[in-house]
Amino acid sequence: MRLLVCDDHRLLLDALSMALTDNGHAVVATALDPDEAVEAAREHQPDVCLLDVYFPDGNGLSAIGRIHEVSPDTKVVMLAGSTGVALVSDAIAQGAQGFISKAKPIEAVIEAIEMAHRGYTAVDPLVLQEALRPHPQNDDPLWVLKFLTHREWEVLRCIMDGLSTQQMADRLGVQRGTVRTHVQNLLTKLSVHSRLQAAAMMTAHASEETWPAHLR
Amino acid sequence: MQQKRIRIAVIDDQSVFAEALASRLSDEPDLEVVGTAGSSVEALELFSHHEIDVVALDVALAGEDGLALGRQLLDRWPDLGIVVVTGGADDRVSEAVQMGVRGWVAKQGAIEALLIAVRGAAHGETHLPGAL
Repeated sequence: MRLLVCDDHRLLLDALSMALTDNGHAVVATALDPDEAVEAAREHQPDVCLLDVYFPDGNGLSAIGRIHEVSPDTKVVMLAGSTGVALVSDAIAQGAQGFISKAKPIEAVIEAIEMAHRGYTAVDPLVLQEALRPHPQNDDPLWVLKFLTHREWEVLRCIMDGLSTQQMADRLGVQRGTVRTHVQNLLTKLSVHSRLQAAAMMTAHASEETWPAHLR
Repeated sequence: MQQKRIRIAVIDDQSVFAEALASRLSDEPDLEVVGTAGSSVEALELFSHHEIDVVALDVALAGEDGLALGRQLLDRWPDLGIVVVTGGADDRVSEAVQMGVRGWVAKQGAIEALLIAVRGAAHGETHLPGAL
């Protein structure tokens, strides 16, 4: 598997990269901050990005959407010092495919990476159990919209306009496969299973003001 | 004649870091990693079974004070070389030096800085951040 690892602690970055390599994975790039990670993702299109949460100048969660924009097939797995439920929920809502504590052994990190790569969401069962309890923010069905990327908003507009995948590809100037990936990421964030359900959700709950100004 | 290898332990509550660092240090021909520990209890257990020359020790250990553990270790093994490895601030360096810590390395730095500090600590030398 081709991996990108991002952490501001270079000592961890170097040591973990070597340990992952020893376990048969290829670390194609390392990054010391989220901006570097986005650039590395654009250049290397890794299978999985292992991303720290806390950085001196910002939050790793903000990079999840940007990584998906430049490399839609990359799965992002957060590697964090703490695993608070709100933090894990936010990460998953923003499109992370996994969340693993730094307190876990390397074996667990590798397991999470491999699960995410196979298309599952890799979260510690105890954290997941806690996260699935009712969460105040979930009362507003549209709260997840704040985590959509610029591209996903455009895709959502296309869905509302009834466009086919090919028509979306033409409008957005990208390949059909890329459109499908954006649609899949969008549906995951909205927790719906089809474009029709996404449209129904917007029709039921959204108003003109819900949309970014340029898409109204 | 082959030189005796430096026996080292890594104490950090972030297992992924402790294991990865232990694995990296094991690649150095003059170092022998005897084990890792995530708490003072695990560390004392490790020390009860192995002879250890140098310990790479985090200051913050999941609710415990790493320097307090360091003091405890030095009370029992006064020749132990302690190298603090931390992702936090440098505000406790002088306290650490006064109690006998021989190295202070930032997690933000490269592995080479740690290797220099570990080898120095094994020979009784002290390596501190350049700015201090």
